[in-house]
Amino acid sequence: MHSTSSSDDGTLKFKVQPETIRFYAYLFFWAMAIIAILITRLVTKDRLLQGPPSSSQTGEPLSCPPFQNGVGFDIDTDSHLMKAFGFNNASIT
Amino acid sequence: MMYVDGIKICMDNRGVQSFLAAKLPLRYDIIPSVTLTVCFFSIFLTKICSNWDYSPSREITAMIYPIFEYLLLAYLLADFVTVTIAYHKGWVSYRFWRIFRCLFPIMIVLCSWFRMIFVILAYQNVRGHTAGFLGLQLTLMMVACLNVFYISETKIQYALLGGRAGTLWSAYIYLFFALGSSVIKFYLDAHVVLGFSYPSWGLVKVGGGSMVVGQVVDMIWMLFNAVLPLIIAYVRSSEQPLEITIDLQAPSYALQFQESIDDVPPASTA
Repeated sequence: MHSTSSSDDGTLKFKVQPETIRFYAYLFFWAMAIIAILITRLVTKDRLLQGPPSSSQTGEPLSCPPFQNGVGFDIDTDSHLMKAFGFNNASIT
Repeated sequence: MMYVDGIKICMDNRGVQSFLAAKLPLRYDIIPSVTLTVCFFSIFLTKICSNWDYSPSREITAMIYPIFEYLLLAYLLADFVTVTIAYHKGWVSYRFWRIFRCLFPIMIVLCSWFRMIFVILAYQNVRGHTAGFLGLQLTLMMVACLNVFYISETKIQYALLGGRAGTLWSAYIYLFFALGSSVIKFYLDAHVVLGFSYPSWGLVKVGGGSMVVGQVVDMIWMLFNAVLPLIIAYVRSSEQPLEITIDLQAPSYALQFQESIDDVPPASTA
């Protein structure tokens, strides 16, 4: 991305290529996406399918977000974005 | 070979395979290999969004997200400095520099607001959640236009693309598809943000297949705004870099010390 050097006159000199910064930005975006997908596949999907925890008093499932009516849902077929868009929107939202 | 909802995974570790097969119970068959291949066009271009909408994925992704955001902001700043210097050296027109100067603060604000996707939860407020993304979408449209404008103004050319004419044509073709898909996608997503239902034509199946128009637009948009820019940025990183020099004015104590040295008369030699 850049090289740094301190010259004899006491100044700091370095080189920056904007497109290299953009390259790393996109690289980290995809890294972020890969990690999100892996965590969702390995952990989140199961949790959402299981549904909310049960109430300690009544024993019935709690109806807390993101769950509705105390039941779990499949993120692949029944996510909130799917309800809003009609399909799993590929936007990076 | 294991196919997991679009991810193609090749490995030879049976334990890992069985674990993943249990966690990712989709169709798979296994070919021994030690490579892990991720097929971007099948998973990232179709089902990326909801992967960071729910706990614990959301929290962990939000911890990595700032690196992406800061780098993108740093890129916008470095690009602005590049264009400013290019203008002062006479490489780009005043018109281009003025447009860039006007759009720069807008791009910075919209890009930084993208973080709202982690603040406004998708399952509580889809409209607000998606609005953050619309801002980034606008920023990427502006970046694509300004980059093509810059290439056109500075007469940059790449032998890889067939010289000056090839570079220009490639840039214009890229801009056509990037802008075209962005405008359609922006129109579709803005419906949800503004509180309308998703346009019915966006849900029409394409060619009798399982995909709808909105998904096809998404795929094209992702290709031209998230995949190709990575390659373009890599190719363009060979251009001349900015050379930055940072200096510091002498602080008062250093000046006083210097003056006291100057006041001392030179020692007389008897």
